[in-house]
Amino acid sequence: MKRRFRIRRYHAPPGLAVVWLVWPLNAYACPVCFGEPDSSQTRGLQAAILLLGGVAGLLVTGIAAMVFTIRRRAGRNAP
Amino acid sequence: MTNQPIPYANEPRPDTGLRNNRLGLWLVLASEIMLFAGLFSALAFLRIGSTDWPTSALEHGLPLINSFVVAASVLVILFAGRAVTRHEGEFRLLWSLGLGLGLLVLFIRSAEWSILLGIGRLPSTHNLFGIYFVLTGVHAVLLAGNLAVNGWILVTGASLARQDPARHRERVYGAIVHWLALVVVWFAIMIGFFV
Repeated sequence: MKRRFRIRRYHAPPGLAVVWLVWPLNAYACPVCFGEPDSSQTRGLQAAILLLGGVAGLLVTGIAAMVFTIRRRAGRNAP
Repeated sequence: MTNQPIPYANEPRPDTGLRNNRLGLWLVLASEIMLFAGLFSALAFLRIGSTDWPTSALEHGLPLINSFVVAASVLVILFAGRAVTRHEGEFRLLWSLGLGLGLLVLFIRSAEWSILLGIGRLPSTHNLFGIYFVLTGVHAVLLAGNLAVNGWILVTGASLARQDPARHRERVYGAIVHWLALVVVWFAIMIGFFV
């Protein structure tokens, strides 16, 4: 049987938190890249992000590939 | 508390074909890869973002000599790895030589640092020196740790090779793989700073 949802007093704090989170605010870009996309600092930051993201992505892909390989082998060799 | 050996440490587990010590080794390597990725990311940010990057201010001769020593150590260590299953005497000789080359790498690195610090190129004087000392310092610490393990294998290896050859072989394998990873990082440092 489906229970009918009723607003209770203890629903107020999480409800207010959700309202606060979705309330539109001004967004400010960080001063490094805002306004000057061709500056050397921006290019340096982009290279750093690409390098770190690339290595982390490769590592996570490798770990996922290892997990799938082990799982497949275990399934194939199961008694 | 009983002294139970770790299962499947030296022989592959029948269903997955995985050795537990190799899994541990690759997890350690993954953590070190992320550590160096963070440092190289900082290097990329500082180098590309800087308008003044005086690479010529670094000492060039000693790192070049050190690169040749590192390359020679790779050959020696790989030959030692091949000899571990065939001839213990040959393995011990090559392993000692590899250990000596590793110590020489650390000695040349400390001489290079002494020169840089002696002429006032401190980590606080420029971002180039800051990131250079951090990267080469972390690398030197890991290299020293690897050399300590290599020394321990040299001291305890003879008796272990007689009692449990598979365990001895796996220890040597781990030390070699870690050494090779550090060599890759070494040449990445060389490319990052000198090319």
